[in-house]
Amino acid sequence: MEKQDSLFVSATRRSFLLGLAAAAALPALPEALPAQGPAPSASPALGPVDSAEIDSLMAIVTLRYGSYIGSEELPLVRRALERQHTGIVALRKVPIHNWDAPDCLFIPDGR
Amino acid sequence: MLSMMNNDIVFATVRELGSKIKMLQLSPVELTEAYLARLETIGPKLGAVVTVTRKLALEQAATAEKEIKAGHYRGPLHGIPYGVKDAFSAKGYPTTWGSAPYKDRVFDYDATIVTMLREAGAILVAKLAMVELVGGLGYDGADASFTGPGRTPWNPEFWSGGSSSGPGAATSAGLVAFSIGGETGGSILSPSNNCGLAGMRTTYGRVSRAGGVTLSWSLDKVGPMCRSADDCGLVLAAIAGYDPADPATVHRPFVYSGPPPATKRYRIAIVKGSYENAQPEVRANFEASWKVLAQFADLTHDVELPDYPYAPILSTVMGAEAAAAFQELIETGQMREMANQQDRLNGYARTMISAVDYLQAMRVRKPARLAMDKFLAQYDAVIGPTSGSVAASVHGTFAGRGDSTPKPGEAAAPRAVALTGPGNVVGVPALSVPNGFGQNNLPSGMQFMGSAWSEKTLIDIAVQYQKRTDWNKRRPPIEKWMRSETGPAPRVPGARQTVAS
Repeated sequence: MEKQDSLFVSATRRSFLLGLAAAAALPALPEALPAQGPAPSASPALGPVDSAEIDSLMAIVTLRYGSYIGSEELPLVRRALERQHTGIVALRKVPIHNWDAPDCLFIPDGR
Repeated sequence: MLSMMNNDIVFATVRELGSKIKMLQLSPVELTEAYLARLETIGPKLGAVVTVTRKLALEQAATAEKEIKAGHYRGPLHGIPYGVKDAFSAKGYPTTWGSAPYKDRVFDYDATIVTMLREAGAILVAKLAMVELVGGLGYDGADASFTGPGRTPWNPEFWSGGSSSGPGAATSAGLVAFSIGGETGGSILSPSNNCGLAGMRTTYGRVSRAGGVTLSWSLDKVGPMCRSADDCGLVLAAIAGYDPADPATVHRPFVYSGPPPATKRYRIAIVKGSYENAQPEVRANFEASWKVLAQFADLTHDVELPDYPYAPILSTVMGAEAAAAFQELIETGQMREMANQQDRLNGYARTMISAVDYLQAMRVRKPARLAMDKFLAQYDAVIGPTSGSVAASVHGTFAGRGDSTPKPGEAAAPRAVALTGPGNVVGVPALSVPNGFGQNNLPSGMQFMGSAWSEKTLIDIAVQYQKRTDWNKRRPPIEKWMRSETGPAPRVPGARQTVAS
């Protein structure tokens, strides 16, 4: 079972990396957009590392769901990712201990 | 049975209606017919209705009337017509979740709350409009429903609030006696504010969600939307309780027959940051409310909520859980069918919330909840404006969010409030009541928030406030809008208004 889990993780990671590589081959998304869509505004809260993370996430979104998203809509998706990321960055700054458990409970017998 | 049908009766409270029905002074059948007629004529103008359950309603009304005449009175909801947000299933009728992909879907079972209300003798007259997919995808305009914008009966050019848009508009306009809404991040309080209602977000786990749409397993809550705080108590008493079909529910009875005598002085705290940046009229109404509250409560000014990043917790938890709950729609591209542009797109971004970030949000949520519990234990209620602004325009997007003053031609936008987000993150109850009027003669609201399971105390406090004010007795000028040639737009083509007999 342990080996299977390991293989599964490995395959998933490989798929993920392959996806990223393929995404990197795409044109830089914002620049490739037609002009009619609103230009993505850089959030002042996001630094270069955050922007690179948004670029990567945007690439994955485009790989997975690009056929459902019009090119003029891509800046809106990016903006949603930026907003989302800004919140997550804020959460990462909250000090919590190793032993602080998530506020959800697994109940073995389901009761 | 004497008929007392007139235009006043449709605006009566549940308690008033129940009293007349019990005394055989009011016919449940005639009352139901009156509400059905209003649902079918006014409902479409307000974008408030998805399905009028006419056949079921008349059957239930006839049964109620027969039982009551025979002396089998079930309680204060017996013979009372109500509407339920279309997030909840009613056997044999469409359950759309406010969204085009599900506009024809029919479940063969009732949601638990529909069953409980039927057993209490209440009469389901309509499934009420709502923001598509419970508004969890970050919509940015009133257009976010396949039935079109929900409009407040106080001025139909303005939004009824959401996501329980139909319950808000229908209850305020006298199309139902009360309604049932749901809240994840503000979906009961927002329409209660915009429509001038008493609306209660219940403690997480107080009311079963079984048979309803899931937006967020750890945040979704159900509650009553009524014309008085007292009515909220009557309705909540009928729907609260443990349900094996919803593992979040608990064995914790809620009993309510009416408010206690006003012999107690309550401890109420005014939350710093909740009102200072509100629209001037909203702030003035809130400050005027303090004088009323001081008649029966000791007020503590400018208390501060425990300092946690509530908004990021809420958005991360709701975003991740919604992406999972609506994964099928996202993966199949059916999100393209959403009415609002943000709703068509944001689901894709939500799938990018990592498991680690979701868990971190749930980890931060725990100390936030514990700190809030300790904080709230000091008071019977903490208060703030329900929203920093009155209703936004139904036109365009919610631009100007957070601005103090809308730009010319731009409606007041919903803005961040200090209480609603934190309260939803930690799962505690809140009750909004109307406390005045602001721009464009639109109602403003004040919310009372308290410790988990403190619904009875919140209702008691709000009842004391409403005994001393008449804001909840004001009626929207809906007849004026109905007569106006420039009144609200007709319903959106494709919306279902009077079907499924």
